[in-house]
Amino acid sequence: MARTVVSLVRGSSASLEAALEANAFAVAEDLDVRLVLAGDAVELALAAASVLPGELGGVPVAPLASGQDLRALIESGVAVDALGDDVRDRGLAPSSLVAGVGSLEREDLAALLRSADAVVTW
Amino acid sequence: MSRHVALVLTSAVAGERAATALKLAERLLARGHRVSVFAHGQGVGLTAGTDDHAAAAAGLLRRGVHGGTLDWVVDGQAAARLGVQGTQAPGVIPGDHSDLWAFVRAADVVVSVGGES
Repeated sequence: MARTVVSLVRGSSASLEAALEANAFAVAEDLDVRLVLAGDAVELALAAASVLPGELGGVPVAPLASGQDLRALIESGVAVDALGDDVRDRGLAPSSLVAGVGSLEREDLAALLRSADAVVTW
Repeated sequence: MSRHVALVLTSAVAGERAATALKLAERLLARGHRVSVFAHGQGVGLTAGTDDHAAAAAGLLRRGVHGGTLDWVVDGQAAARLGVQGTQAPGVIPGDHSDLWAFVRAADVVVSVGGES
């Protein structure tokens, strides 16, 4: 049976995009990964959030599109949830999130962490 | 009973957190457990250069050579991005995130050190 892993992405660090990329590698392993977005990381789930390709100081800047990364994760079978309180605290509507992102209430997070075989935080 | 512990060092590992991670690894090794460390993001800097933390990590890796009880893999892309791929302590292996999840899958216990608080 696959091990269940909760991957908890929190905060507002610039490395959160990299955390999403790291989670994509879990698909290749025999793991049942559930990605939970908390704190400012819930903004990674915004469907329309993307930075268009641009130029800075004459250097091309690659576009960032965490929504697309999340869609790819969901399509790969990774369950993705955003903490409902943190979504509401930021004035975000659940309908503004990437389709397939579930809502997890804070009081259910502890039980989820307890039931997991492993927890990785970012 | 010997256990396999995966230690995941994420972006915010520095200072006190770095010391805690290294002490934890040392304790686990001393008790005969197997330790697999994966360092990601800024965590790759822990084993780079010549500061005290890098020297401590090198010491632990030397101790782990006999019996192969310590693996230490850094995200090679992050190391390259930070310009520290050539200054890693002896025994540190550049890898990618598939190593992280392989460690998580194989370990009895997973400990994440770092992340936002």
